[in-house]
Amino acid sequence: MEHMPDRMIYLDNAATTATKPPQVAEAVGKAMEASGNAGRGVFGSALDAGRTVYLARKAVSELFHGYGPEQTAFTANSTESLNMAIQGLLEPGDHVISTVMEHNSVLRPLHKMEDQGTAVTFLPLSPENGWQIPAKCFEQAIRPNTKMIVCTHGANLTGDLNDIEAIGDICRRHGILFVLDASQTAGVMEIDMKAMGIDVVCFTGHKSLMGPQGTGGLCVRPGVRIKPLLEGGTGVKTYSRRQPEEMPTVLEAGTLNIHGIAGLLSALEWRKQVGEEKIRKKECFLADRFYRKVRELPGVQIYGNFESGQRAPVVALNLYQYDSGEVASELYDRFGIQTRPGGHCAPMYHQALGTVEQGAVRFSFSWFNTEEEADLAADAVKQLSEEG
Amino acid sequence: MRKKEDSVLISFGTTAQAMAMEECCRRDGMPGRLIPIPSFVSAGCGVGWKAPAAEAENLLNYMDRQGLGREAVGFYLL
Repeated sequence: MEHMPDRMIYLDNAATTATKPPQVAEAVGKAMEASGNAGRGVFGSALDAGRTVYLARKAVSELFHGYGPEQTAFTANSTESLNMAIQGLLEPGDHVISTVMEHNSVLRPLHKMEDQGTAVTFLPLSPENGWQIPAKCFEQAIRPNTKMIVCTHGANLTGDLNDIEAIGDICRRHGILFVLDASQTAGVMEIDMKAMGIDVVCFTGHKSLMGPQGTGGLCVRPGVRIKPLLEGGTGVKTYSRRQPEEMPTVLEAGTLNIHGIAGLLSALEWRKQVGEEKIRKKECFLADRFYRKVRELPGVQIYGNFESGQRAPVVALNLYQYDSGEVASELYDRFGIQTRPGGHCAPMYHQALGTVEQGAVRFSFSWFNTEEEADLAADAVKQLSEEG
Repeated sequence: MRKKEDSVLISFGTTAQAMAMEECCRRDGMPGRLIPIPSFVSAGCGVGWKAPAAEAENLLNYMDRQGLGREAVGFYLL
């Protein structure tokens, strides 16, 4: 049996927040004891479920300064949401602009569309631009048939941000749809659909929002008509042959994850109570504290732009020429530090950084981490660095 | 970094295969454990089963008997 350190430090919050506010589990448990099926009856437990879902829609919409609960649909995660937006809005013959910073949840649906005749431009990263993609590059890539820009707000590999305000402005001026992947930034960074010209925000509930896994969704600007990926039971328009066209029903075939959504609502209420700004500042402070302690250690190579101000609370690094999996194993086995090595579902980003062979070790922080944990993680990296 | 040992590393095409391996090996007292797989080995599911190299034959026979799937088998200093 393997020996495990006494203390475990979880620093893979960009994959999922392992520690949630306690009221999230309570809300899930309570919903599991009594929930009926939302929209499937007009009696107490079904109505209660419907009310919970409605309040959650409202809370999500408020978070993104969206267009109200009717324009907020729930899915299982960001991947499902992004598939709906990408496959439901693009047609053969369209052109779409994205970036090499994307997660496979954007890349793979785009490649599928590419195979069906949609043209895709992936904007590159370069050292000249500080490993970032200036907004002007998005504008320069626009063609007469460009229908959409779809990109991440914060890269899951490095935490680097795209300038979504500028990209939204470009989209508005050119009449192009702007689909945002907010998987790493929802609830951490300000996202204002109206002010920033965002047409669709795709989010997941279990990362920075601290809700249960299996929750996610999309907020959609009125007038943006997404063709549904799935058709099925909705509780309304039973005799219509096809999926109803109205939001949010059009994107919600089948029973919703009401238990999970109850937990997500509780998480959103908790975030509001604590204060979004306070949460963001603490998470970013911890990541920055860790970064400052490891950045000049011998053999440590850090990826991403730390000079540009705001960023998601993520630090990706490599140690000498060691494989990232080997470093992550050392961190876990000897120090109890849980990090994510490998490719992070970001193949083009690793290609751009030249880290396909080595991968990278990602440390990602959450509200529930402490300064002591950030310091212990930095000490562990220091020790490995000294060991050479 | 720790001293490396001659190891057998079994990679899997899916995480489900890796979990099945762990469940069976733990149940039957077979040697080894799951580790993040080095990227030079495979970009499969990212999880591999590492055990002392001397146990390789024993483990592979065991996997065959149990019908446990795998992607590849390699020997490394890990």
